[in-house]
Amino acid sequence: MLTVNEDRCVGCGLCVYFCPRDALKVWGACRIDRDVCNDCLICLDYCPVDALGVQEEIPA
Amino acid sequence: MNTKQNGFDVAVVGAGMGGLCSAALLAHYGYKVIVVEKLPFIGGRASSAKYKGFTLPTGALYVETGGVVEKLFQEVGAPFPVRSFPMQLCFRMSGKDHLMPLKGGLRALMSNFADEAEAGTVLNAIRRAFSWKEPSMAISIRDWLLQYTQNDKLLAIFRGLVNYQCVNFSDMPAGEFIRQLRFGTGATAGAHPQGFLALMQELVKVIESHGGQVWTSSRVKYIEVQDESARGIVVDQAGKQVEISSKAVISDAGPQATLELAGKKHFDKGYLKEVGENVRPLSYMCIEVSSDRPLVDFPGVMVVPEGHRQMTMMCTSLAYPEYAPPGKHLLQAWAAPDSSFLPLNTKKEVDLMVQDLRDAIPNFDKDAEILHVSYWQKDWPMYRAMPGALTQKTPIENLYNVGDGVAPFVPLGLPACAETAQIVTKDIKQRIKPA
Repeated sequence: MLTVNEDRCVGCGLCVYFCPRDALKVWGACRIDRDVCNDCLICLDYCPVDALGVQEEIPA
Repeated sequence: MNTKQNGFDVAVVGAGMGGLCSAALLAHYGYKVIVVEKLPFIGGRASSAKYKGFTLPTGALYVETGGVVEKLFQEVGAPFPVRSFPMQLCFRMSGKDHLMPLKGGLRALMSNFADEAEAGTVLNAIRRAFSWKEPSMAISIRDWLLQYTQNDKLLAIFRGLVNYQCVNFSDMPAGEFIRQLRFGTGATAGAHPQGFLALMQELVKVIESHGGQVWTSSRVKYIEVQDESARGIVVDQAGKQVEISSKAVISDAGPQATLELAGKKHFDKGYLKEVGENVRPLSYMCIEVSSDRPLVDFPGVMVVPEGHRQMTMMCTSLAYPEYAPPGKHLLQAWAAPDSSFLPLNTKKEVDLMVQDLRDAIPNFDKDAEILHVSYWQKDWPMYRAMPGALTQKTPIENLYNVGDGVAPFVPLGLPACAETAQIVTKDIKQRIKPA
């Protein structure tokens, strides 16, 4: 599952430009729209400060 | 298992403005160069991306024409298809628009809000600063001006002008502002009709045409240092480690990153102290807005200096219709947050800037759609440091920094990055012969 490290995120918004599903909103910091994000993880490559990462999903 | 790449004279870390300018110059002068960029695109904070049909920046909005950057492009034989827009500023204050004439603009603008005597006091101080002695760097331009006027409107004018240098009014040193006012960005500026990415691609073409290489999505793991001398870089390219030997290494990753990559233990304590104290990144914000009609019907830059945040805006699509899809307009608004240096509540800063947009533009909520919000700070800052913070040479032989972390005392931003490339290239030409 895609995660944002809120301490590292600077709010640059590059991830928004490159998300193929427009699942990210940045307003000073990045928020993931879980209804839209499909964990393709393309955004990880575009974050200049390594704030995007992956976390194992906790089973419901 | 590592692979080795030899035969490079210079390895460049980062394909930002400083890195690409350096590599293009060196390639032009016969050096075999390789540029390694961690992101999937070149240009860093001088690039652009297509988003919902709009061409939007990753950082720099405009570049001066006829100056350091254009001269560098000419020197390396690269096209510089930058289209200028009218540099005339308009100040939107208390609901009225005041055009700033190109000549005697400051006096004319101030005359709207103060009599000759009051404006004269400020103008005389500036004239003295130009002709006799630059004001101190130990005081902000705001505090310096307060010595000569308490007039809110006059102060607002300068708050607006400071925003052109992307520094907060209370953080801009008086000496730096006066220097920029006197020597700063040229009379004309503009942008590439296809965005900054296309402009920076011209430098990549120069590099590649001379047999150089530019790798993207490739991360420099470390800079190889032996006997206090830079020997090359080690790169992670798609999971494989590649050792690249070179006679010199230029880092466009920023002075702090350079320390990490080369290993702090190799740097003398004095330099480490300098980097820690002098290299302080500056923050900035930009909001991109889409609309069906132009939200500001002025073909240049509109300064809105009296709001919560010092804001400047431009209906970019009027000068660059290519930046918006057919039938749409693009407004770009940019502002310094409440402090250029302190960590702030970024959401609150953006909220206040949006409030300023609502106050400055009638029917904003009805007619505008906020496309994108950018906040530059920390490791992706507006500028990595104020000019003069650090020199380009590091204590490690043949390891240089370029870019806005080591800007010399001249025009801020892109011209400074190009200037660092010129300085480093000149030094390399004196010390190292191409293979």
